[in-house]
Parts: sequence; C-alpha cells; structure tokens
Amino acid sequence: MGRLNWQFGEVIETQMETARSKSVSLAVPGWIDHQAGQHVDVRLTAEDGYQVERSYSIASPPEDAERIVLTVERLEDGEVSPYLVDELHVGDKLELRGPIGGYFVWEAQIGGPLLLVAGGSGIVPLMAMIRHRQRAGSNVATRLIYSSRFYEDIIYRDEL
Amino acid sequence: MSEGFISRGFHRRSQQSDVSGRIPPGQYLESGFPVLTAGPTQHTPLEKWDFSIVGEVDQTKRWTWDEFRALPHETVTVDIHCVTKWSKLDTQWEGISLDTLLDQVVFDANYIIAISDGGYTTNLPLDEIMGGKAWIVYAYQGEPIAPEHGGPARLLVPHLYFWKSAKWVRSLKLSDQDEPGFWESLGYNNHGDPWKEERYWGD
Repeated sequence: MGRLNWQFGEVIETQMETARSKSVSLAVPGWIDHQAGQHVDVRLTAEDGYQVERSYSIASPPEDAERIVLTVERLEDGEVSPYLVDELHVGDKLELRGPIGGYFVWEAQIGGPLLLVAGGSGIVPLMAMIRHRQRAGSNVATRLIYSSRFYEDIIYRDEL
Repeated sequence: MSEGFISRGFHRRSQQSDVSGRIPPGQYLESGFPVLTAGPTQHTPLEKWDFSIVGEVDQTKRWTWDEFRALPHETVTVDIHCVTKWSKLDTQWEGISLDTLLDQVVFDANYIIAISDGGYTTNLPLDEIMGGKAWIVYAYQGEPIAPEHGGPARLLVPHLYFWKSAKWVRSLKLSDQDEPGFWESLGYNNHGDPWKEERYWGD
C-alpha cells in the first residue's frame, strides 16, 4: 500500500446544520473513493508554521465522485473546529488525507439489517451510510437510534 | 504537497509551550482520558482471569490473577499517544514488566501477538517490548484500571501509538512471523511510532 498523501480540497459549499455544526463540501481532485464510515485527517498550518491535525468523519456517500462533505461540530475550547465552522469559506483550500479506517464501515453489498446508534455529532459517519444506502438503491432494513441534547441540536434534522 | 501552504485565517489557539518536546507531531494535549474501543467493553471476573504466554515457547506458561499479582511489579509514569490525535502526559501505571514475564519461559521468537478478551489483537516485534519498554498493567493512578480503560489488566507500550497497548489482554503469543493484528490489518501502521507519525499503511 502506498502512503496516504496530504492533498488539497477546495471548499465549494458550506451549510450550517445547527447553531454549532456546519457541513463543508470539498472538491478533492483525485480522491480515492471512500467507504461509508471512514474519516479524513485534516491539517491546518498557521503563518508561523505551527500545525495541528484532527480527524473528521465523512458525511457524504462514496457515490459523490471527487467530492466529500465533512460535518464539524464547533467545540468552544477547540483549536480546529472553531476554524472550520467560523472561518473557512467557499474558495479556501483545506489540507487533508484519507480515506482512513477499514473497520467501522458499511457497504450496501454487505447487506443487513442495519442498526445505527449515535449521540450528537456521532451521527456523521452513520449519515454517510444512510446516504449510501439510498444512493445505492439498497432496501436493507435500517434503524437509526439518535440521541441529541436538544431538539435544535439534531444534525440533519430535515433530511432525517 | 504542503510546502509553503498557509491555512488562511488560522492562528494558534492553544498554549502548549510548557510541554513542547513532549507532544509528537500532529498530536494535541488532552487532560481527560478518552475511551475508544472497537467492540464492547469486556468484563472478566478476576476468578476467571488468567494470563498466559503461548506459541513458540518450550512450555505454555499460565498465571492466575493471584499468581500474577504476586510477581515483582513496577510503577511507571509515562506519556501516552493515541493515533486519534490526543496525547496525555504523566500517566501513572502499576504492573509487571514483560521482561519479568518472558524471563519465565524459554522461547525462540522475534514477534508477539497480544490477544485480548473480545478477540482484539495487536502485533509487536520482541525488541520493542523488551528492555523496560512494555508492561502488563493493572492499576492506573493508584486505582484498579476501570473496565472501559482495559481493566482488569491491559498491555502498556507507551513509546508506540496507544492501540498497541491492548485493553483486556489475556495472552501473548510468541511467533517467528510478524502477523498483523486487528488495526494493523485495517489500514493502521504495522509499527506505530508516534514520533515518526507512523499512523497508517505506508507512513
């Protein structure tokens, strides 16, 4: 296996999901198709060369070619999530590498039934599975149990 | 790839200067103790717990909980680094050095596979776990290790990413061959040195 190299994604769309969470759509030329449930590592570089990395789940299904969506919840004392939610705009570039993780994944051909359990922003990788199920035309029996502190905090409320 | 790239509008927010030199590249300082596990938390009662060394040994060696706890133990204070990016400093553990355990068998092997309750495995070269580098620990900060953190006993190999420090470890299999363990088969690096950022395949 070759190294998972750092590459650039360009922000093509952003959408607030709740008051504290935002979906960022990225065009990633040459993106290797991911599996629903996988994540990427994101790296930020400041002007003085200071770098930070974090991992974020991919919310979009593998059917979106060369495009991924990350949904990020803003943590008050965070270093990366406030940047992604407050600062990152359409046209910005974001350095990332992936897809990562070969365990917590689901593909329609695996079949079911599918029982998905999430709390808070833990919904994100499961949403990739739900979207993949729909896009792949799968009719696998699926249940989502999703816990949220407040009604207003439910991510993807309209889509669900 | 990133030569000269600057993330527009990004500025350092954390103040970690007092720990500079102790946080490997790409890691951040964590004061809590996150729980990450691939499967369900294991709950093995102590009367059913034992620890064994199997594989390329002259004779399989097995200790009950009481026998294990009677072995010479050490207290170590180490920094730990999880591949999910958090690092935690000055964690204190008590347990048995793998040097002490392997001293009690005659073996011919270059690798170990740690095998845990629940089926988790991780592989390590022998020279990465001998010479005061690895322990089977049963206490954290002076208290028995909580089940969600791998109690009653877990492997501790602090110089490698923490997925190598298998929770709920029950046996070590000695082998001539390096067999990839659970995460090592699923995209994660076979070696896992945090200072070289050996996170994934090919790093």
